[in-house]
Amino acid sequence: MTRRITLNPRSHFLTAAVLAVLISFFFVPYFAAAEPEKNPKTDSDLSEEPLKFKGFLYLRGGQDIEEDAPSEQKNSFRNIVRLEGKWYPEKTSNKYLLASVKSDYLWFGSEPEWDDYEFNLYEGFLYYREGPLDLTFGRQIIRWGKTDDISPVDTLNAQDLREFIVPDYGDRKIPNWMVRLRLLFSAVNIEGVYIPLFEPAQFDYFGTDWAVFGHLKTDVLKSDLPAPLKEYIRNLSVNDERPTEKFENGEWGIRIYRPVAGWDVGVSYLYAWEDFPFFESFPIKNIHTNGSISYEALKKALAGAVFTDESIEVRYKRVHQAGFEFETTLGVFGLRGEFAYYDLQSFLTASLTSMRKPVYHYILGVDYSGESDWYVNLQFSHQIIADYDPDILYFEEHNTSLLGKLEKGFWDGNFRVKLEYGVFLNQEGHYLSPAVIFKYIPNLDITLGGKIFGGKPDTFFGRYNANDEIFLSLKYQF
Amino acid sequence: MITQKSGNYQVILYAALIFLFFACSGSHAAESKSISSGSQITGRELAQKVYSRENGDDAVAQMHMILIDESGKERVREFTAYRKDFVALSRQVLRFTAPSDIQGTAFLSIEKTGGETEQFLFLPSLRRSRRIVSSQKSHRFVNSDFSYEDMERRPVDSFDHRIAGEEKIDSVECLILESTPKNKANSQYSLIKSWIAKDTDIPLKADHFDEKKELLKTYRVLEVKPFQNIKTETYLVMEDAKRRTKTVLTLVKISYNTGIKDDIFTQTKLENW
Repeated sequence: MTRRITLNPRSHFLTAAVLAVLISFFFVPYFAAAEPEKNPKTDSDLSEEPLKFKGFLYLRGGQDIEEDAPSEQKNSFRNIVRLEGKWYPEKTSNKYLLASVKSDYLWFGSEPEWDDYEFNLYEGFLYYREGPLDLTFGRQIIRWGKTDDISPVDTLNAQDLREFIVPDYGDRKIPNWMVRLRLLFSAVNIEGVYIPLFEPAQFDYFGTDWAVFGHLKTDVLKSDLPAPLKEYIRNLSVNDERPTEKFENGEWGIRIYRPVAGWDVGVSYLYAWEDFPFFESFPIKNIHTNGSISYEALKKALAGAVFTDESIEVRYKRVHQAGFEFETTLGVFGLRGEFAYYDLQSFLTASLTSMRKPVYHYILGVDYSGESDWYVNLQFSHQIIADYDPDILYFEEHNTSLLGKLEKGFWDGNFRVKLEYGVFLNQEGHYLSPAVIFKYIPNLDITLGGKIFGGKPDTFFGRYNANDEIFLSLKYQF
Repeated sequence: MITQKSGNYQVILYAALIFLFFACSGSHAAESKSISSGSQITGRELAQKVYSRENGDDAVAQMHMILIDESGKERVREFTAYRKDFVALSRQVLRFTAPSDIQGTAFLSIEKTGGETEQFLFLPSLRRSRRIVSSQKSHRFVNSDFSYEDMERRPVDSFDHRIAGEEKIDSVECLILESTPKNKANSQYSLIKSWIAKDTDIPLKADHFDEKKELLKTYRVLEVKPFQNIKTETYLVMEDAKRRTKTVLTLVKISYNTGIKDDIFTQTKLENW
């Protein structure tokens, strides 16, 4: 059984430091004032309580539909509890402190069993606004872009992909330490962001159905390979070297945003680290895989392989990202879109090392709300990998897909049926997630649904085609 | 219904509920004058009086909405509404404060010249505001018995108006105003028959008829109270005659002319509260 318990010491140190700064920010003016102001400047916009708490409890159990892989985890369980406090020191919404903690337990089982527990500060930031100046400072999630569920421009926060795209997009986002300063004018908003500490995407290399190398180690141990080779595979390790924490290694970006005649448009630039690693070297040389993470596929790829005593070396690379986004309405339709250019993006190749290529990615989306509680969302995505190399796994030069959602409410919205979908047009791969949601009990959502992945094992979705599951989840908000 | 998931945005126009309480622009306040019995007044003039009732330059209100289904089951939603007039055009923000599953959801509505309205929705789970379609007038709000159209200020000249008589509602003398849309495409109703209190210009009752001239919904004001010398509806009901459901709106607290800042009515403020 694999188990990780994370209490993120770096976060705790930063949390304490930031809280000290924030507390002094709020309280020093009170102590320093020789006498109370006779005509204190106040805003009358806040009718809520100055200290508010809220949170949720989330439970989810999944059951694999079919036994279709030599090693697979037939069950999953996730429990998240998040508690958030928000404090307004004055009776205005222009200054507040928000802090939330998160307890997150994820289990896959039963054979091979794997679990992971995290308890940490989720968000903790100060919001301050004075005139056109708007500042947020602390651990937070900042959203750029306009499209749904997949957003090429929205890369400020990394994602938790330990369950791939099974959780909702918003729930996958990982807060990070950032400073955001905005200048808000009536005609244009100018936004600058600095991220001092790199936070990569969260995922696993081995040991889960969703891991980069899946259950390769377990499969090899069960196989008829010679014992020394089994031992060699079992001992494969990853040397994950991250950028050192210094000022110049921070990420920064700028975004200019303005409404124009019923259109919201924005342009952005971000100098960042890629959230996903660059596989600099793989210890087994001279292999050529097709992207399938099964033992059988790897066995074929091992013909002629050279085994070294290296680790799997992963690094993180800098990327320049330029983006454009828009949103408007046309008649009864909502329209939105994004375009992003990445000067270099890392892709895993057949040799299980990475190569970098320039990438263009745009998404155009339309949604419609029908009178009888219908909702339809359709997005077209087109990713272009420039200077394409056929050794790149899971992606072709042009990657086109349709993704979105169909949803219908019944019984005054107390019962909802929905289908989320993603279908590649250029390769045989798809993702479907049908679900029914009961909302009859106030603040409680009960969802019964499925996650279905299909396609060839060397495609983006098809590589997970053994992971189809049904699930039951409960979310209670308080 | 309101959902925290990214996507279902058809719901959210609670904001226009504000109009039920703040149904006019303060710039018209000088025109306000109650209808004296026996005075000669046309249907259009009466409609204009209702439209132009005094309601302050701005207002902040806390409200409760109770959705009552056919079996009598109740669901309560609480929100704070902000409204400010910018000359003849109005802007509103509505923020839900309860129950927990919609807390933090907010809505911004900005009237534009030419009768257009821009609407934005903020869902905490999305972490961004979203421009939404404002033209689907017959849709129900949050599964209440109010439609988007019910919540809008209806421009006076988009309807033909005539006075159809006089009648008392709970001992209050009223003029009966019949309003039919000039362009059928602009309204889900074929006829709105309103009982306008002579002393306050407040519609105390309104029957809404569908295309077949059958009664669809009935709107009733059950309580009116003065706040800062402005007569304000504090308890009202919309009943759906066909679905046999009703929605009750109660005003918990209201302040007029608070001097609320303009930046409250912006997308960035909608996202940071």
